[in-house]
Amino acid sequence: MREAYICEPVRTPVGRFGGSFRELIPAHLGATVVRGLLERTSIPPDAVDDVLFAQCYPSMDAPALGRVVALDAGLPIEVGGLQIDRRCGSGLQAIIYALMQVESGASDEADLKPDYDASIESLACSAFSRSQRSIGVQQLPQPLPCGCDRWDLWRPKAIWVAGCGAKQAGARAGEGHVTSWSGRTTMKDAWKRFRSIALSVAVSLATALTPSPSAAQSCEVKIGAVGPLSGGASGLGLSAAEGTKFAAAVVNAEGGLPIGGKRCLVRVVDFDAKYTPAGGAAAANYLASENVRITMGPVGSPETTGFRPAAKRIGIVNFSSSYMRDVITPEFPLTFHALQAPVTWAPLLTKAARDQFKFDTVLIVAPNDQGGTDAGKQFVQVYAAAGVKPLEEYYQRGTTNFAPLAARIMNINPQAIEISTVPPGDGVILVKQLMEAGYTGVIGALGGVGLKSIVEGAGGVENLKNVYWLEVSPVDHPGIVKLRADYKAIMGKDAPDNPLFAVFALATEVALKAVANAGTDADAEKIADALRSLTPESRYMGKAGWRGKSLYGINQELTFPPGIGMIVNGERKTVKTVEIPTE
Amino acid sequence: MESAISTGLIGLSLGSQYAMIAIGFTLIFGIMGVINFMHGGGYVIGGYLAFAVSSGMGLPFPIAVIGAAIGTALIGYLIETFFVDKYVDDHNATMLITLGIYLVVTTVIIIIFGPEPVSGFSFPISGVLRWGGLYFSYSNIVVLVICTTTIVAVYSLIYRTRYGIALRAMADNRAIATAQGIRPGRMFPVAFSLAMALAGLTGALVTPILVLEPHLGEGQLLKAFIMVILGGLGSVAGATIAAFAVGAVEAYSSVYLGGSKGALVLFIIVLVILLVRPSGLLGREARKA
Repeated sequence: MREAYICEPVRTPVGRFGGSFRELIPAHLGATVVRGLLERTSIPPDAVDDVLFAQCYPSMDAPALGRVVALDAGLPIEVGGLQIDRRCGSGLQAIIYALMQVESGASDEADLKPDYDASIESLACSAFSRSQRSIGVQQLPQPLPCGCDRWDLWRPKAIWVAGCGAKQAGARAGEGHVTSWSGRTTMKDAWKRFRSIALSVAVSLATALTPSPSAAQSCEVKIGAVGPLSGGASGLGLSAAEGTKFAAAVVNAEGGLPIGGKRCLVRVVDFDAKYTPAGGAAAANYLASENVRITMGPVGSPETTGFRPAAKRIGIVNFSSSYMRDVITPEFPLTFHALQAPVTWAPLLTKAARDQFKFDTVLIVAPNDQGGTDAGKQFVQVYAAAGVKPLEEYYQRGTTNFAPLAARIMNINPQAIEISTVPPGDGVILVKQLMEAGYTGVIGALGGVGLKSIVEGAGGVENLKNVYWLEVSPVDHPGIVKLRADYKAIMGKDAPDNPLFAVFALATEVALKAVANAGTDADAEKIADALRSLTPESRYMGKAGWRGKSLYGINQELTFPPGIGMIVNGERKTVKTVEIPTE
Repeated sequence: MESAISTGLIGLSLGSQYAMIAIGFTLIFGIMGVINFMHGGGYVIGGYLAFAVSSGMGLPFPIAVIGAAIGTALIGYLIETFFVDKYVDDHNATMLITLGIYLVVTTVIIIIFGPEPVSGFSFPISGVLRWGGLYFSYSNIVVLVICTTTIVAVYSLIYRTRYGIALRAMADNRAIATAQGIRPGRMFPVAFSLAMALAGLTGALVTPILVLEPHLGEGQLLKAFIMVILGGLGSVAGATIAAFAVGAVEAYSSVYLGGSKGALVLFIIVLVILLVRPSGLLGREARKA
């Protein structure tokens, strides 16, 4: 007989019933040990002849534990496996069998053909099945009340009672006791029940909340609102959409839009264009699918770039608030401009600012994408034409900490800083960190961000010395004051601070008038013709006009006036309305 | 010279903030193998919780910060327990799940607080320490001290406590660690909570200095990706070193090259380092288990 040696004993820690190993199946534990043993001993896997495991309670996870462990541990398919049950003596029996196999030569005749033997048990993963009513497993507090005659310990997480009719008893596995006999349902059942209830409630709510048009308003006029409704520029898009919705609400409050002898309910269909060209194109396609043929927006330059080719192809009249070059052009005859770009009003405003603050250099700061650089280049021309030396500084959109930029600006040391089309959130931080860096020069905001961001960044008007800014709608104009008051009265909340709110409220008024004149909301060409032939007018700002022929080659830019605000030596002045001539 | 020193201070401040974010992100990846797209959301949630507690409830700012960290940790615990745990071995699923949760959270924040930056939420200490041409705001000094202390505390937890040993064991080889009795069911939720708490604490401290709006998380997540990849996925020390390196590079390149070129320099440096050492500064070649 050959001699056999027991070497390299290795084991996992010993867990208690329901303890640290409750979530593991026995095969996992065994395979971990065997893999570890192979690593320690550097024995080639194909040198193993057999794997003997003691397991008193085999389960469907590993009905032949030795074989399953061998395969899971990466041993070749030719390696056999055995499972032994001699109750508490199973482990020792496994060793005895292995010794007998090696000593008797029952294993292969090669010099080194080790058998592996081990003992493993995981009570938490064992299935108990008895034919008697009372359960003999230790620590159970009481027998089952439901007349069941069988229960199984299923998977480590749950114990089910089968054969009880409608009742089931749930219990926590591995705790050694059943905690409830009262028919507590499982999480799965609870989830199913909750799901069906939630679905019913949702359907009921949807049905209840769906408005049905009254008999007096059996027709509907659809108008789109396109802009960034999420993301960093959402303040712009949401404010613009609110302006559109407000104008629609005013018309609806008066009974609806008069079209062809009927009064039609005005409904706003909004779409999040995300301030991207792809978003703009998607908006056009979506609105077309909703039979919308006139939109307020897109708001930003990237969106306009993507929107208007699709709008031209499909036939959608659109009002853009972008500052891009050629925002309106004969190539896209259905695109109108809801406000004026810097090239229109900037000469007037920059002259006024320079006359007041007497600066000779200006640093123009803007994001480094189309929305920033288009406006930035226009400001360069405008300031240069005003006799001010312009410098440019573009930053990565998405920047949240402007401390490095502020330090750079301090190194440049301009007399004035123009924050151009910096979004409101960025504007707050930029101004704040400029102040921290010690900047005491003039701050200009002709990009339409408004004063609020600057004041917030500075920590109060009292901390500001010299500032000038554009109000795309002059906030101190009685008409705009009334507009905001009416918004609060009708919509039940404060009007958005962002100036695009008023811009689109006014533009939507004009657009709806054109729809009424055209007699349809479904024919873009008719609506566009109606727009061109009417004199723009607002109940809040009075009559305006169209311009753009000299600048863009097409007269489709509204001339509702902007305003210029100033803080001079810490004192805030009234916002002055700047009249824009029509063409 | 003063400009260079001021820029260095800015880089140090940025680095400490980035390190807090990066450590949490790499902790989750290292231990659970989960790329947590919700990590930036933790930053935003921390900011809004601090805002709600200090401005809404009128409690002192330190209480608001602690409350924000605890609240974000709790949210992280719930996310891991109810959404991530079941799919923790499916990388695609966990990415989508955490991304979806981030989108939902952002939308909820917009509905409750609005899309625009909040007003009336500022750091309680204002003013700037000036010394000649140098300047460093008091708020940044406080944040730097707190962030550094927290980083040291996290290090002590990970390298000097039994719990930390268990976490590192899980990161090293989950199968063996599990076989030693370390339960994923216990470790994962706590690791997730810790990571989210770090992000929430950073958000609570930094957003009153900068700005608080619903979409800050995207930028933070992008930065976290850069630092974690640069430092080596799963390496806490690597993420910390990378964070301070990124902070310094960002500061100096932005000040001396400008915003656009500054971002380009950062990406070029990351690219070069990854070409030379694809696993990152201190990362392993492949993540075990």
